[in-house]
Amino acid sequence: MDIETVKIRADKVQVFYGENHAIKDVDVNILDKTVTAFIGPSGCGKSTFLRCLNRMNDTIPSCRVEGGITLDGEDIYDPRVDPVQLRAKVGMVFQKPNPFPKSIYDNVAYGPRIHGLTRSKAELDEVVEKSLRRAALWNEVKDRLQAPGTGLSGGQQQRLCIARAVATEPEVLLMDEPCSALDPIATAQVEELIDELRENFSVVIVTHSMQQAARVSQKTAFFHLGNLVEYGETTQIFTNPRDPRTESYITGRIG
Amino acid sequence: MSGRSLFAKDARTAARNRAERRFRAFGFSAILLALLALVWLLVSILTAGAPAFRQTFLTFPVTLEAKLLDKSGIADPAALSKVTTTTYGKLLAKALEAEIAARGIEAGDMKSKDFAKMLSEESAATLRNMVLADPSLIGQTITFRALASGRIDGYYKGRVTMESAALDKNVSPAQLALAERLKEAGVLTITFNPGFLTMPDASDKRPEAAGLGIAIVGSFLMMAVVLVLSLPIGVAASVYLEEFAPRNRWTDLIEVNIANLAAVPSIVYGILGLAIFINFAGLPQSAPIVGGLVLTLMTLPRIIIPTRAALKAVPPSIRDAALGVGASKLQTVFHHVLPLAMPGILTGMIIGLAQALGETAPLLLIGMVAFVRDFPGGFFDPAAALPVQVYNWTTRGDPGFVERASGAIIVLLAFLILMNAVAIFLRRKFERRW
Amino acid sequence: MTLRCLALIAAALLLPGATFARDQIQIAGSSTVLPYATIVAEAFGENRGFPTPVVEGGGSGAGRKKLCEGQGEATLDIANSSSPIKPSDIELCRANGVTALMEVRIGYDGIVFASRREGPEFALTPELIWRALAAQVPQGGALVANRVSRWSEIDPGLPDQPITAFIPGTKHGSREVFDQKVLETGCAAAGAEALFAAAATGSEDEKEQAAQKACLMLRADGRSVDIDGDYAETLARVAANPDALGVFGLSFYENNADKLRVATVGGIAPTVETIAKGEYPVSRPLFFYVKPAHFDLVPGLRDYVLYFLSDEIAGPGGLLSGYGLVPDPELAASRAAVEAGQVLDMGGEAAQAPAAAPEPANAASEATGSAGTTDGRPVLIALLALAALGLAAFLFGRQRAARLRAAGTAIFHSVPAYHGALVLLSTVLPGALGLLAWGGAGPHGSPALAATATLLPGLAGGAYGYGRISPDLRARTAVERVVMAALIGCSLIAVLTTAGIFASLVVEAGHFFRLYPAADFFFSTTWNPQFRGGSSLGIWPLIWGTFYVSLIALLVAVPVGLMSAIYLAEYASKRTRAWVKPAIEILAGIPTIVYGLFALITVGPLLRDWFAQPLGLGSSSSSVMTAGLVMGIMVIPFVSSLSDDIINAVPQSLRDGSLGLGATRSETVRQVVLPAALPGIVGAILLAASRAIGETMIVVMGAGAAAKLSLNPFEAMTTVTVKIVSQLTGDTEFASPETLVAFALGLTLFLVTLGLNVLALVIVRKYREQYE
Ligand SMILES: Nc1ncnc2c1ncn2[C@@H]1O[C@H](COP(=O)(O)OP(=O)(O)OP(=O)(O)O)[C@@H](O)[C@H]1O
Ligand SMILES: [Mg+2]
Repeated sequence: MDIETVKIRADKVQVFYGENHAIKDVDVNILDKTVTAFIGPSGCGKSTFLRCLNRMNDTIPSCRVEGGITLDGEDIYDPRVDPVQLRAKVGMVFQKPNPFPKSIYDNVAYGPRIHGLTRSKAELDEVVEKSLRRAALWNEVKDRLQAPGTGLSGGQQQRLCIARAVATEPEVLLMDEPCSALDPIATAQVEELIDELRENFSVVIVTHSMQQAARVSQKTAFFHLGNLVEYGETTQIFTNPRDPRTESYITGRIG
Repeated sequence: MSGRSLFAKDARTAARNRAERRFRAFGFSAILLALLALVWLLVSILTAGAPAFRQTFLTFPVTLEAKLLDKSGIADPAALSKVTTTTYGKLLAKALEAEIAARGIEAGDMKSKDFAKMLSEESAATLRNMVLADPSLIGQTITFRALASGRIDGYYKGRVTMESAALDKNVSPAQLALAERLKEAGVLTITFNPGFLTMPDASDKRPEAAGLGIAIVGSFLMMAVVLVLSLPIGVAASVYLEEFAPRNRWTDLIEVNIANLAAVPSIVYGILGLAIFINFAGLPQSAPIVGGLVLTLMTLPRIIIPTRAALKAVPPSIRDAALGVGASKLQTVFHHVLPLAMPGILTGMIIGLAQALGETAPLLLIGMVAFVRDFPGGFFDPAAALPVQVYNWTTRGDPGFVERASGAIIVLLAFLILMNAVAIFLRRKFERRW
Repeated sequence: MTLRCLALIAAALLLPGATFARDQIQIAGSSTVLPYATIVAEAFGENRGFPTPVVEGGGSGAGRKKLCEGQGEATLDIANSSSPIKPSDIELCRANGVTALMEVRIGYDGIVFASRREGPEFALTPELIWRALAAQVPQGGALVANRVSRWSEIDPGLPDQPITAFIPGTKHGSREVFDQKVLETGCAAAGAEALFAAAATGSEDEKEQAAQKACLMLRADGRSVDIDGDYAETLARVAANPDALGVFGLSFYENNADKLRVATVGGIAPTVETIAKGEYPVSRPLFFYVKPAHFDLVPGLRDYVLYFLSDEIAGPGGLLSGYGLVPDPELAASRAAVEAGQVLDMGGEAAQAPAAAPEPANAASEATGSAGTTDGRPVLIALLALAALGLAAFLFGRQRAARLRAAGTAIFHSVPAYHGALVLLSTVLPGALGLLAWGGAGPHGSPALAATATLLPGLAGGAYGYGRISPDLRARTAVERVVMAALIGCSLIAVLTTAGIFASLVVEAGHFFRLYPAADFFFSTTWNPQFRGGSSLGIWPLIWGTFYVSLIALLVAVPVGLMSAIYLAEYASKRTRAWVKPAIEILAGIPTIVYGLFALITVGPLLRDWFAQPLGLGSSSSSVMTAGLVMGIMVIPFVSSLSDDIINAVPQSLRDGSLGLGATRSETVRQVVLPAALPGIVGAILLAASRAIGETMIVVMGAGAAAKLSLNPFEAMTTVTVKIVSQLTGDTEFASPETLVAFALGLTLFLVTLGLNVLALVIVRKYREQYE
């Protein structure tokens, strides 16, 4: 790792769902061109925190976020910030593959189109191909780009969703358990993909699989009951956790 | 690789945000439009119909002269009933004339026929019935509250003006001017008119006397038929389809069929009723029983659908529990599932009834549009129905009936609101979270 | 349990609140005579000590048909008619055993021409009217297409204003008079009849017929407008159009004299007096037909007929002349004829009616009462007896089972109540079968016979069931099997309803197609029913009207409904949603008659005064636009509610996916949610379309009645449903294609909506499964 630039900085973040205090005082620095894994038992707030990073929580009426989150030093909750612009920079891939009921091509072209990233059809074709290649899907679908995206297999669908997210050229990619619906082969493909994406993006991945976290990430954050218990180098967390809770979780005693 | 600042204003995003606001505004205005339409509809009906509940009356003393009304002198009922409303009408006109003279009200050069025309023909009939019911009144002077004629009434409701009266052979400006003076003197009053709810329909000559009594009773009788027939049949059909029917192409067909029947134009049910109940079975025209049967057929599918939903909402665990203690499937359904589903079923039933209450088109075809003056004694007697009465009144020649039609709609809507309120109450009260 | 049974029987007892013996006179028929008949009925009920007769409209033809359906309590006593009875009616009467009818002429109906009160005077003659409205007029000895555009061009004495006339549509009885007394007379006076005859080919007879037909042809360039609605519609059109001349009934005119200026015909102004003297030429006699056989059957019938004909009622200065009925100078003769029992010559051996009325004559009522009618009394009594027997059976059966169980040691398969129920079933079912058999064998006879036919099998069955009670008897299983059968039966009613609808439509439509070629019905583009046969009954103008109205309705409802649904599903807060959604749904709960009235008194006049007239698009307050707009409002909730459900069924993950890529909400809705929900929304719109196509009251009251293929949305047009109502309740004969066409229309309507509904249901169902 050359110079460690901080991409996203979270400072004393609190999240409430109505009365429910879901995230408590979380401070974390997410580095550029790094894969960061969020682990922790179910319901501890991993997804909630992840969704704070591109303001997806805005869509939940009862949700309230406090504290500061900055992207490249700019407060993303500043009233002047347009969440639409923010989300173009901070893309997201969800747990369940959710291709739009459109063709494969249109799925991938969706982002570039709405953001006006391309000037011509040829350019768009290029972006679509590049994104599908990056998602390791191109060879499987290049002959049926006009087929509906919903007709693909689960693993293909998830890779399509990744291609779709990648196509907008985000600076950060948030992935919420992207492999939970996939078989081992597809999982391996996605993991490989994540590793490649690290070249250009900062990737944050939520996972329930310790092995996966260990395999793909450089940094790991362990959440428990809404608290960030421990955050550090992945190798350190897995080999030498500082907090007893982390240790018991990765050795399978809680969660 | 830091890109553009998040704070940088970007023309494209601004345009997209404008589009977003526009879209949102469209949605909002659509809702506003729908609600405005509702308000417009209600306000227009309410303002047009409210006057129907108020009526112009003339109150004055009437001497029931024996020499006119009881020529026999012994109050023989047969002889009394020979005296017709014409005589009573003249008597009333004379009494009004006398009262005007007694009060020193300026009446111009009006003849006694002109005084008679200020009163509704209905008031003569009312007076006659009073006397026939109590012959001892003969010879006395009573204070009588007479319905004013439709034109005088219309003057106070803005239908008739001095200009239109000059051209109208049913009323003259002199009569209107007199009416004004009578109002000042307190003889003419405009008050709440319970007769609108209790009196029967009236002929084209007396819009002022037309009431909804028979229509309300008729609608009530029809709803009784619908309730008595469609509740058991609807529940039985739903129970079978939901609890017992095998899932195969047949039941699928029945299901599509029921969904279709719920959306078949109601006029088609009218044709069905005409063909089956009247032409084939020979049931009487204009009878609530026929209207009730037609509306039952129409309402059944509309009841079966919510009833099935209510049955479906009862969790399977209840069924398993009952079956587990050795109840038969039928016992399980009738002892456990049905009672639990009952609030939902009743709600659906009431809403179905409310729809049936407002239905007009099929009734037109089976002759529920008759002119009926005697209250029905049962399901086979001729009667009217609320919504059809509205339609009937809109086709009459005298403009006074339009106000009556709107007033009838207010009554109809009041019933509907009541029924829906009961449905909502039931739903709230018995709502269950499994 | 006993209590519940008692309650049931009490409910059964409530039913016979029905009085079976009829004591009200039943009258139906012509809508022109209707107001007079109601006035007389009212006065009759008030003064004569009899119940007020029940008076129904429905049209002359329908009234005469019902009159001729048979004799007896279940049939009509009097048919009002604005035209003399037709041979086909008499034939029907004779076929149904109605051998004597009295024809009673009650007076005359004057047909008047009137324009706006503010306009100039018109002094017309039949010739002038014909010259203004005929399709072809003679010019220099030749026939040319009528191009006259101003009244003053026909006669300098007439006002210098454009010709526009609103005349009764061809379904009206008054059109017949107009044809005969104005057009035919005018045509002859103009010397055109000879010219037409000369132009025709064929035999003398054929030439004459052709000439007559040509005389009645009216110009089709919009100067002569048929009004298929009632006089109120004509009045509204005349009131809104300063140039127009309208045709009205005298009584209608007299009740609206403050708005209308009446024209003289041949120098005579129409009044009750001038018509009675025969000076004013355009009038028609009004009749009613009564069955003298009913004089003894229905109390007061004879009295009513004579009362109607009394001077006090129908005479000069009587009750009806005050309402515009022209008194018949020969009223006294008519009265005498009734008193003498004179009946119509019906070709067969006419029975003399009883001259004097011995009232009440029970023997006669017994004889006629059972002839063609189904008297409900015996059935009801039998049913009640059976119910009582059933109750007894249940109680006894249960008691015996309980006793046996208490006495013996054997374990009973079923509890006593089931045994009771089984005995009840074995009593009631055979009993009901017996009653059915009695009814099937022809319902002759007394209550006693019916009761016997019912109770004997019931008792036998009950005894058998009672004897069978034993521990091993699987009473519960048996009872449950019967209950199951009943459940299945109930669910089959839905199927039977569809079958019934289909059968009744197909049978009657079959009659229609035997009288009228199907090809003409389905492919002709003119709808022009005629009194004297030779109607054109092409469905296309009606389909066009239906389509046009529905289209406008959907153009209103789909954007508003869909956008409301989107706003509610995607933007509105929970609190807003909680009250806005039910508020919009109120629109669906309001009866359509309310919308009809809204169209009639509010929207129609508004559109006419603010749009149609200023834009020069017409003067009618009933129009496609009026009906479409109001119907659109009604249909909004059908679109919005279903769409809202469907949009909500689109998984949140799709929205998240799109928002997560930086799409705005509206982009998400338009590009992701709506395409995903599209099939469901299409289904919702189809259902709404089916609703709009089948809607009746709004179009009856708002769209008008003119069958037209026009693009102008402010013109009155008509729909399939309107014509079903008007043809079934019009003045034409029942067995004629003009009436039966209603069933063919009904069949078409049923099939079209069936198709739409099923398509929509299938689409929506598929859609639901997709996201289940
Ligand atoms: N939309 C919501 N409304 C209210 N509470 C919510 C909502 N979403 C999550 N929560 C609550 O917030 C807490 C954190 O939930 P979150 O989904 O972030 O957990 P998670 O760590 O992602 O769990 P998992 O591993 O199961 O996905 C939970 O207690 C949950 O109940
Ligand atoms: Mg999660």
